[in-house]
Amino acid sequence: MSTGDPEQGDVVVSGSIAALRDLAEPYPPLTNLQRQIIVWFGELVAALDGPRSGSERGPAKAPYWTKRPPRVDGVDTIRDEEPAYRIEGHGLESTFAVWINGRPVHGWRVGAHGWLIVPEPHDAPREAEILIRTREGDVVAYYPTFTQ
Amino acid sequence: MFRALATWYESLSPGQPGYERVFALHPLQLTRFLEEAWRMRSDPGGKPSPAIPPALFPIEATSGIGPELATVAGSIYAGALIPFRHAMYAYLVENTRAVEIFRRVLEECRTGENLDVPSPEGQQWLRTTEALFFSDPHPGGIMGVTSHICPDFRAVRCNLYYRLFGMDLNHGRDDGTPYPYVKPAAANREFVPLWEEFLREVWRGIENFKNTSGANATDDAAIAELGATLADLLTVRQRNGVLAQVEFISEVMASWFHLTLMSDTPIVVDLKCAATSPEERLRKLGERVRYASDPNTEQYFAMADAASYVLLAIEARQFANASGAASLYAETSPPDPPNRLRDMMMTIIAQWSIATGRDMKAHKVQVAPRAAPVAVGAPAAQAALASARRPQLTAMAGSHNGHDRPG
Repeated sequence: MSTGDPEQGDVVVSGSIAALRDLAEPYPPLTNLQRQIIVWFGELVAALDGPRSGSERGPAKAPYWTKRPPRVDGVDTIRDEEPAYRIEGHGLESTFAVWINGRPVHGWRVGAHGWLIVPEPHDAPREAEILIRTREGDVVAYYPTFTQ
Repeated sequence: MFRALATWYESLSPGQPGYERVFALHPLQLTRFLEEAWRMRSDPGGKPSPAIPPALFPIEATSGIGPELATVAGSIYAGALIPFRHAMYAYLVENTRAVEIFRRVLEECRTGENLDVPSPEGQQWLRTTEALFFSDPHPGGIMGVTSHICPDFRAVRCNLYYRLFGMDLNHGRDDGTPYPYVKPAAANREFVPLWEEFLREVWRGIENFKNTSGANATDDAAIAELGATLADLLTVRQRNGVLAQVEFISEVMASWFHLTLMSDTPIVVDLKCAATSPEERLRKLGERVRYASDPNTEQYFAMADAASYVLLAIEARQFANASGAASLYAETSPPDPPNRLRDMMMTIIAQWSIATGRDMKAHKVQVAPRAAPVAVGAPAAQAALASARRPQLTAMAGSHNGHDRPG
């Protein structure tokens, strides 16, 4: 349930409720037995899966609807030639739009390890709410890191 | 098995499709590779058919491909013991009708030029395929699952599928009659109802996992009960590894044709059947030889791996207790590892539903028997009421109607 419109940059944009809830409430931890089973199964799949080449629609790939929504694991800043936010997480590779405090941002890019690099605005705010829109859904990153 | 070999070649040479290296190998190398793979099988106690003895190995079984792959982690040449895919993988791939379509391709290419003259690479694929799967195998080798006793390889595979799953392939002979093979009395005809009930119960876990309020219909005890029953059902047919060799060779054959269809491989291109997906390539190949692929080919390919992995885990009794059952549907957050089981279960549930036409996400509806009207308070009415309240535990397992095969 996104309240923002990509055409209206001055509208305050917040993240989807589902994404915000996931950020605030991680899934309950596994029991030891469940973790052992999942790790065992992952090793079984790794031993048997493949090959990696071949059709995009081949059976070695997960169907699109099993993809998970994007997740943000952390935000920090980098001070290279151009100050920027570096957002770590997963599912950020398919980002197609970014807003900071409701204003659309240009010049963002996906860097190494799937990190999202978003240039800081010239009037960098002390607190930034960064909405990231990906093909798999929306997610919000906060800088400084948001804690409840 | 050949998909594993292609994967190892891709690890060795990233960017080069593994099938190029696999299809370039000589048939002798590939049969010997299978001997090497069998020697390095995990759980040799459960797969007791002997490999070629060490004294004969250098002469009879060395494929010559080991030295190159010795550095690839996870390969048998680096010392890894490997599992094999479950027979369900072979069953689902064979249900696409790929084996029959390629048999017709071989017939056409060997006897005429209706399909054009294949390239040298295409000819090599034809020669290898014919040598591996449509010729008499070396009697002592691991490929030797046919003989004067069981001369028909397809009948051997059908017998395997029937014993393990109680299912026939969805295609018979060309005239539409069922393919003849021996159907033993001891077969897992209860497999499909139990498997589908297992899928339904896991789906309830998936759809209710995020519930923070309201009813939660997830029943871990039921999942565990079904998981344990399925494990018993499958392992009792595999006592002392009696079906392991046939299962292995069936998986080998399925992986050969699957690998052929996963990319625009030489034979696919030679026959002008290049496409973007395995099912589309097979459909075009079927048109060339006038034998239609199964309409649910996409579903069979999409769930073949996942169903194979999950059944291996079921046989290992990973879900035979309520605590472990939740690993089938739980979502995880770091630091817990990503739960591939859940992804695989979702794939199976969706694709099985499409292929069979039976919705695994729907709640089961039970029709109560209509009782004859009787006077309220009469002893017979009390008994009928008590009977109607009793859970119908055997309602699913008792019905085999429509469960003979998916699709």
